[in-house]
Amino acid sequence: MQGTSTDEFARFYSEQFDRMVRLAYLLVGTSSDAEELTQEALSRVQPNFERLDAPVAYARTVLFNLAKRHRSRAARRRLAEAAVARPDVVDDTSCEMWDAIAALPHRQRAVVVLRYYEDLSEAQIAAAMGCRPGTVKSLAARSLARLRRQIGEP
Amino acid sequence: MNPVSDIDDALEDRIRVALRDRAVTYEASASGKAAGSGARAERDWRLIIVGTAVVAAVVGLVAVLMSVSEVDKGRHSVQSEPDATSYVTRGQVLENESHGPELCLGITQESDPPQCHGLPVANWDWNGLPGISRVASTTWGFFEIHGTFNGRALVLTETPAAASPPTTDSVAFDPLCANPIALNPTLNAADWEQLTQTPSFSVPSATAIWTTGAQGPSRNRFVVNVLAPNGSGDAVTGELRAFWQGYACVVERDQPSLQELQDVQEKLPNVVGDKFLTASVDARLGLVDADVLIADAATQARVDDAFGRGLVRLRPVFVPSS
Repeated sequence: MQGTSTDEFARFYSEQFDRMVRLAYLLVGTSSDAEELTQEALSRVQPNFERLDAPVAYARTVLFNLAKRHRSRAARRRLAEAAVARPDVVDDTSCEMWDAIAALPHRQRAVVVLRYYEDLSEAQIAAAMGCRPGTVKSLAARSLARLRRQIGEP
Repeated sequence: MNPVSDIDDALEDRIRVALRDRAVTYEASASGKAAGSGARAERDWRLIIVGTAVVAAVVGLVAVLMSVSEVDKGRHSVQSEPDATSYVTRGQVLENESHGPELCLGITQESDPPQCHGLPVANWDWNGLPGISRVASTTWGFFEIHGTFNGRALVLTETPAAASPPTTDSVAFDPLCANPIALNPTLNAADWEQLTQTPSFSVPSATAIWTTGAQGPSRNRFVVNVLAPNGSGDAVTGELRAFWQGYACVVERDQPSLQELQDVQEKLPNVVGDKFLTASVDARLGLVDADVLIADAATQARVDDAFGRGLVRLRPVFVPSS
């Protein structure tokens, strides 16, 4: 039984690792932190893995909360955050938008990432963030308004 | 045609493109790394399983709210003045493809093979040493080591002797009270983990919270242990029960709060100086453990002056050999 459970978690890990790292990266902005947070999130999933009905959603929730703590800790310690070098392959308009997204407060940024990168519904985002769908809706509206102002769109 | 909707659609498209571009950027930078994320994932899930087993066996389900080794120098590029004093220590020495023999300091990843970083050991020779383990290009073992510092490395002065790996005192992880009470005895560790991920979860008046359940008399009973300041046990119980109906112990005891201990933990590296390695908060005992290379009298005096006697427990890696 233990072996089966271990195999299933190994498969889950392999399937979800890259996807979760990308999500973490979009939430915190640095690749090394993204990998650490993903590793940490998956390590917290593992003890509960057998009894989880929706391990992907659970892992996403854990990751969201770890990213939130990471950002507030980083802010407290005044570490340079989201200091991502701009690669040549990304055009200027994309960079401008990314900078604006990266400057959003954590919960607004999370809503934007989960909605426009993960393509989650309001209900799924609410589950991941542990809040009501109405809160997601208002966070989304505020984040879009802020992004619109930031990048100078009407 | 709705112009507002068109504007929103354009904005949303730009957001999608920016996020996709940035994720691609991440993949481009990650693919430059040696193993690639697929191989890394394959390796790391094993590390999680081994690590989880070890952690569960050693410390039980330690509190989410206990901050362990938050302050850590990481790779421990130790540099200090050369010192003619001969010191002795017991610990794990490990050599792998990325570094030569090093005395592990700070966190050792209990993977197979293990991984760690620490203080380079000069004059080290594995040949003939007892109790060595080897997996692939990694060699390690636990030893009693005598040596001096040359400023950057430990220089052996005697042939290392085999030593036992450290053990953990399981008694420390018994529940805080003899008869934990549950309103809903079916709740377990997974329920607690899920609860602590809820943003609204909070027990603001508690001094410390930790969990027990993997060892000791409480075996198979998951218990949330809560320390409350004297006179506030009922208030803390009320705060806890608003979220958690499983087994719990709430005990009144006046000691520094978690926040106060974390403040001390944050300041320790500056107070201790270059001998500092890691610091961890023990909210159960109300103190901060500081791992240091050497606990000399001057360091102890600085710590006592800064935080008061008894709040920080210095744990030296090296002690002078008699």
